[in-house]
Amino acid sequence: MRIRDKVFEVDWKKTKKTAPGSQIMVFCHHLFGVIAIAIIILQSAISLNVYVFTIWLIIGIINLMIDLFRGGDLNLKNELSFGIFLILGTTLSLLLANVNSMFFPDTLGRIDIILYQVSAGICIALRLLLSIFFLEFYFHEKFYILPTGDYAKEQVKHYEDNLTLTDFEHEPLKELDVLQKWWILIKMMFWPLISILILFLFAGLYSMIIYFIIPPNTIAEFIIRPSLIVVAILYTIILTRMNAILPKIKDETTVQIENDDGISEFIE
Amino acid sequence: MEEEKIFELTKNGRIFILLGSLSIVLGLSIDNYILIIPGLLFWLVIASAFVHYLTTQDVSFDVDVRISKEYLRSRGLLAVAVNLTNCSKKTIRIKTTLRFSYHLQSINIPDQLYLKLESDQTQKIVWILLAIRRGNAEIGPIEIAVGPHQQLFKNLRILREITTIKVLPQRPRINIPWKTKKELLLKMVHEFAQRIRGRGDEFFALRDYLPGDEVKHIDWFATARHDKLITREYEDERNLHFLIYLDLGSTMFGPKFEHSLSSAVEVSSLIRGTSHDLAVIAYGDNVSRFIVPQVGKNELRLMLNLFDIEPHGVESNFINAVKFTRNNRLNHSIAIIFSDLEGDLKKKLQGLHLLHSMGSRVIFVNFSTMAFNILASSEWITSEAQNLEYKEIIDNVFPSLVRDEYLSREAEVRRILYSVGGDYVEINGYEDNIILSLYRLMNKYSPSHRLVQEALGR
Repeated sequence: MRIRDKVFEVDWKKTKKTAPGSQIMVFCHHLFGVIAIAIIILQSAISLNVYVFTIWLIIGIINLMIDLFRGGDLNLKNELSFGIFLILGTTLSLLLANVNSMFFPDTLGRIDIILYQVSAGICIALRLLLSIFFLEFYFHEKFYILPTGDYAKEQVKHYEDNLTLTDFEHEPLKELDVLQKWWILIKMMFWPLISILILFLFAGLYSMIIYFIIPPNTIAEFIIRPSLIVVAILYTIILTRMNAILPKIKDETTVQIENDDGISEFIE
Repeated sequence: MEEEKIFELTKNGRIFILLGSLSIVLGLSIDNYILIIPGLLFWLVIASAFVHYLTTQDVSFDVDVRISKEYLRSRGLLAVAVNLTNCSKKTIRIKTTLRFSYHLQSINIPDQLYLKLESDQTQKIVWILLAIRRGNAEIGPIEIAVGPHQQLFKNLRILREITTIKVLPQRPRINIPWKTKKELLLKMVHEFAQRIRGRGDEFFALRDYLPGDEVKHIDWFATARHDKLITREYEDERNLHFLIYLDLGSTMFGPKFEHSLSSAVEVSSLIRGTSHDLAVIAYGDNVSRFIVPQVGKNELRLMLNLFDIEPHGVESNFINAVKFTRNNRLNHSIAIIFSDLEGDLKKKLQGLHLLHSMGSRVIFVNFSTMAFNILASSEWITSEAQNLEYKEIIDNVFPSLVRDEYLSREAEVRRILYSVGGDYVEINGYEDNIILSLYRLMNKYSPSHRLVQEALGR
């Protein structure tokens, strides 16, 4: 800071636009992260496998540190690294133990395990949703300056007064409030949710058909899950291809229209 | 105005899809719901962005941008009005962003706004911007983001129109009254114009030849007409020829340079509406900009020529600038050198004698006074000195070694200036003013204040 800047700061104050509830959201984001990690560590502790427990403890601490050092500034990279660490931990615990030692400890019933996992999964998903929402509406770009000194206040007031009855006259703005923003975000997810559910319904139907064709014995367990995996891969391919295909379709239609015009002119 | 549609999956979005799918496939294969549930949410988010794109494909806007000024001084205000019309048949919620360069800052409202637009509704947004840096500021493009998840999936309408605004040097802190400037000019004329001889002595009248008059001044045509010797009478040159040397060397950077540029503009305000003229030579290693002498030039034209000038990274070489002056025959002028005492002093002062031999009066204006140096030093930035009083800084933070060096350099400059009959002026920080410094200098020269007062009275 220089003296000149000091003079500037007397007159102008740099301000960050904070929507109501942004701090609560950051807090909830961190809280969900902590809960998810706690559940996973608890689960790995119950599995009574030292390696698995150690891995999840380390990964949990790393994730917590990332969260804490970022502070109030939620970041998409942060979220992706959280996900990558999750997959890494799962893969490592698969390698160092067997599948059963972590996810099916003898001391727990199957329903309990599913409850643990689903609650951790929901926590992570909520955390992700919160950070996406934060990035969407509370991001760092929303800075502006406020006149605080007498000179600056008068300067702005006179300037605004001089702009009345011109093209630059100030009009009241009505910005979206937080509830409306949330509503957009959730409304947008309705149709995709249905599309995913339809895909899974097809997968379920397919597996049911196979289940009825093949006699209900040991093989049945191995059919439903692979079919779901195939659906998952297909859906991924659809999503990634959509990105490449959609603009092309649009371009082709415009080109055709131009061609038609050209031909019609030529005929005339 | 036609706006461009942009639709693309960002790098983050691609990683999102892959990570989501990986976690779902892995989770399904080992029956782990910790991975399946977030993976599904990943998909949901991406798919919702796609669906939203498909539903808002035909959304377009009519954007009308107006900017109130083409140029303004730094710390001045500027208004940008944007009329947004929703041309589609849907009610949409959008995020409007006005992009502008770092020269400007938005006042009272942020550069990003979330709005709801009904069909065919027009919304007028007025941004008032404060210019905080000198240079070529840019306003535009305007981005309208339709729908959520822009971090993953860009669904934008962009008006790619960039307007360049000239942000001129800052207005001086102290507003010096015109009467003071006039007084200063009179003093300068009184002091300097008599010394400047030979350059275009002005014709005054014809009169009879008297013994002792120079023969070369005899007007032979008039002599033939009147049949007696008639001579031309001249009067002293009363016009001043200001010549400003603006140092663009590596030592003149940041606040120091800004202040010297503002000072150059202020000197030009001194001669507005008079018959004196002013030229500017901005030099680094070589002359990089030359503004030819113009009579009664106003500050605005000078500012429009000088506003985007920046100091070079190399050390300045004054002799090249003086040689340039000699080649352009800008003799008998008042050369005001805006420079400092840092770096190679020899390079800074070489050429003063040449300038003197061309009949110019030299005024060396030193911007490397303690106030500026403290601001530029690294200790200032790292220490807690920002919160100290100015006097404490001078005493404690500024190292005595540097102060001694500075004083010895000042003595050296004064010595050389004395040998060429020049003057030395210091600018003591931002609160000081070049006009006031020159005024102080002229007070030293002309103690006969009464004469000036009389001239003003007339």
